[in-house]
Amino acid sequence: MSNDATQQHEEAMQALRRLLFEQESTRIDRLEELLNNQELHAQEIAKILAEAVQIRSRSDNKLGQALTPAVEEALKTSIARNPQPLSDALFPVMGPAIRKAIQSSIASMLQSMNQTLEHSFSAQGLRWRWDAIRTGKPFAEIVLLNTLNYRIEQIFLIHKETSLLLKHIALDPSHHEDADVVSSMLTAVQDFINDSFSSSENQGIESLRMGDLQVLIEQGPDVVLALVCRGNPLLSLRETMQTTIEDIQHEFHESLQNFEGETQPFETTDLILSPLLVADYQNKTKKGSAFKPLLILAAIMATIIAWSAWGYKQQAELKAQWESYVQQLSDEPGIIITQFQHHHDKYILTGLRDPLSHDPLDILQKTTLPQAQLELTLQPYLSLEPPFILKRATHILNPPPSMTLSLQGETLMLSGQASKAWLKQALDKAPLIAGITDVDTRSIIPELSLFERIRAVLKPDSGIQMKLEQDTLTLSGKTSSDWAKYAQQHIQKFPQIKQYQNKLTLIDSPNYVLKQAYKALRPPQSIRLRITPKMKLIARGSATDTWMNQAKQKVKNIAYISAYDDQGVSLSDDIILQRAIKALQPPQTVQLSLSNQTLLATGEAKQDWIDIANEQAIQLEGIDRFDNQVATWIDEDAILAAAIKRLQPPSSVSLSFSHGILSATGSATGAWISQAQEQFVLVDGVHSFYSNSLKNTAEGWTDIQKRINNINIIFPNSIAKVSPDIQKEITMAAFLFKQAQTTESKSQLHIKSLHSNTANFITFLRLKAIQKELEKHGIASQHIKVISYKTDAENTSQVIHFALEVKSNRP
Amino acid sequence: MIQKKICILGAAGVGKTSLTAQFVYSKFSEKYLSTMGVKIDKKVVTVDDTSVNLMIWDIHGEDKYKKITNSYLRGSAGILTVIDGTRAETIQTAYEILERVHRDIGKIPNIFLLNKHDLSDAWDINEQALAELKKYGNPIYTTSAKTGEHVDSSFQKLTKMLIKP
Repeated sequence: MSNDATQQHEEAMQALRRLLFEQESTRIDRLEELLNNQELHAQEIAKILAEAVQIRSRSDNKLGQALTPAVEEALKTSIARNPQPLSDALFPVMGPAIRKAIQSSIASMLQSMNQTLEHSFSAQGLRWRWDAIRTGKPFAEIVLLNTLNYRIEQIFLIHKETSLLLKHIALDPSHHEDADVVSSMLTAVQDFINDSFSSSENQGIESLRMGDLQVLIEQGPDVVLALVCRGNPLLSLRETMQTTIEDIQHEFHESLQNFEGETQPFETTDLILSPLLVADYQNKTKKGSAFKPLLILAAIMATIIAWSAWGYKQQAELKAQWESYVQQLSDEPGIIITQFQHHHDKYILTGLRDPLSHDPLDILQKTTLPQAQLELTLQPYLSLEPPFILKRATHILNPPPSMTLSLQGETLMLSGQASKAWLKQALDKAPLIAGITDVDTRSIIPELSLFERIRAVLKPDSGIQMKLEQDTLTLSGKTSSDWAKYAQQHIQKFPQIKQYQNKLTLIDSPNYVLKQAYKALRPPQSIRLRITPKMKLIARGSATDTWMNQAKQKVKNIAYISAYDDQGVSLSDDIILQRAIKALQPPQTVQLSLSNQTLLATGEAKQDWIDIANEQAIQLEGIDRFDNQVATWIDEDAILAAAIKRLQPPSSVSLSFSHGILSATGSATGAWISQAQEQFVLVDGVHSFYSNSLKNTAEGWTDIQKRINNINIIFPNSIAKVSPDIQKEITMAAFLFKQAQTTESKSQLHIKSLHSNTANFITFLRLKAIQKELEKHGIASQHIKVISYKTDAENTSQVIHFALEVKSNRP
Repeated sequence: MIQKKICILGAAGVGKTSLTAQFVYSKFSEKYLSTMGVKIDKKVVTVDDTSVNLMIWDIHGEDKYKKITNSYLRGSAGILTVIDGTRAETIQTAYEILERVHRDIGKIPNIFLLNKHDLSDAWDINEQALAELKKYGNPIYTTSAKTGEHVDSSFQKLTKMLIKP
């Protein structure tokens, strides 16, 4: 493509872009200018700066903190450059503030001077001066102490939750040092008192007093305000304190809620707290004292009048009480008051009194009247009022409890049971009693015999036997303890019974019930029953299942048993043993026994059974321990068969095996015995071989000859040296030859060799070597015969034969 | 300045008052005086350029007759639980106190102080007991109010835990 065509294409594209994105392109250009042009940026920020500062100031105080260094620096620079503008600006504020401070100081000084001057030259002033000299305190302080009503010296604002000091203000700054410790301690003391007297947390201490110092405490929801006050503050100070707390709670609400130990936000509380640093002096103005004597006189007069009035009232009340007492006596049956006089301090009563009436002094004691003021002169008389007649008759006749006395007119009515003796004396005495002219005995029931009366009172069951012999009553039979108790109590009401013999069997007594339980349950000897005072039957020991189940049923039928406890009953040993045998299935060679929850196994068994028993036995109920003494059983027949197989005993030998010992009896050759002694250890299960009973018999000469004739020695080619294998064969030949000699003394051992023509010399060496070995085994050369045959065969030269022969006498 | 209330707790006679005296006044006395109620001291501790005014509440030792009351613990920012290293049984009391603090005040920073470390011959805290103590996950210091061992550092550590939890 040519350059012209490219340019045309680019222009066309630009025209197209302008048509499509002209507006967006213009906006992007403006935004770029805004970002790149610092001046425009500042203008944009200036538009929103004031609002931004306001918004941030409302949310927190970080803007102020951030600006503080810059503002301080700006102020320093401004003052250094020209202080005039700032002093001009502050003049309206500073002027009044300075004036106010100076006025306050002068006023305070004038007040102090006034007080001092005022008291310096008066009589009181001189006395205070003397006090100052005597105590060594400045005169001004003495004046202050005597003229001061109260003064707030320190203010503590304390955070209630943490007891940390938020603000402390003091008249004397030297008090500032341990303010935070004092703050904590005030809280601790308050907590201590709250805890000690269990008072509510909201009921804090309101004040503490030490001499003329007093700490006033007011509680707020989050703060505690404590004022240290000298003197006696006005009650209104409390209200002021509360108001102050409310102000602080309101103004510093957020800081208090978020308090985590930072006290800086509370620095400004001094504006609220400072007004509390007040002092109140005694008002010099006093009212004239001319009225004082009049007031005192008036007070004395008033006291005398009041005292007189009170005394009169007391006297009137006392007299009324005495009159009431006299009236009470007059109303009392059997007492007649004829005269009542009040003479000086005494109240004199005169009249008549039946001795059976209430004692007037007893009645007096129920009142508050003093007995010392009473003079009582009552003559005795007999009242004829029916209650008194009846009382008198009862007193004189002393009727038994079964008798009832009543009065009808002047007739004494007797009813109930009475003895003849009593009735006789009653009939004699009754007419002599004042007010009684006749006696009616129609309602008297003849008295039962003592035995019958006792029976009537006791009402014994049919099972109870009662026996009365002279003055001894005997009760026997079965009954409940309630009835026995009842009987015991009621027998005492019969004075004729001097002795009571209790032979009753108490069917509800624990002992009786226990006996019944033994009878009913028939426990085995291994079971012990006992019963608690609350009649709970307890069974302990061991028993069979059957007995335990039956006992549970039977016990329900035993009277008076409240509960039955058989938790302490374990299965008896027999049962446990039977179960063990059933579970473990021991072989006949094993014996099981049980003692003290220990299962003992003895005898022999296969290892498999022993392992299973060890595992299962202790899981069985009633078995705590398994003492397995079973020895491992050995299959002796199998071991014997193995021994026979290995040792191959001759028919003349009988082998047996028992307890690891292989025994051989019969007769055998020494060779077999030697072999057997070497080889028995190779049989599993055999640990010793007992062959003492075995008779050692020599083998037959012919047998030996056969065995010797079968011994052949083969030397390797061109070798004449005796190898260990060859030596073994030579040893065997020597051993057999010696045996042959014991049977046949003329036995001779032949050593035969076939040799070729070429191997004559080596054969000679071999034969010599063999002969030498035999001699080492104790075989003399005269018993050895070396025979060498010449042969054409080349291969026979290596073999040497042994043979047993009888030495011929022939040459 | 930041103020923080801390409590020093433990069984009777473990050395709470001695530790406080060593920390605040750098003094030690062999005399034993049982603390009745509470004793309050203060000391300014500076941690990482931050000054903290520690209000130290030395509360009476706990035994079976005298339990620490919650009111003394209220508002506490942290605690030092003191154990007598020569009496292993004081660990149990420390556990009981700590459990009560957790229940009534909340899980506030705590340091275990195994005090009387100068009495090495009579030391009664074995590895197992120490392992149990470590399960709480709180720092453990062996201290001696007598020699001053780890006294300042343990208070410094607690202060650090208070301002930088």
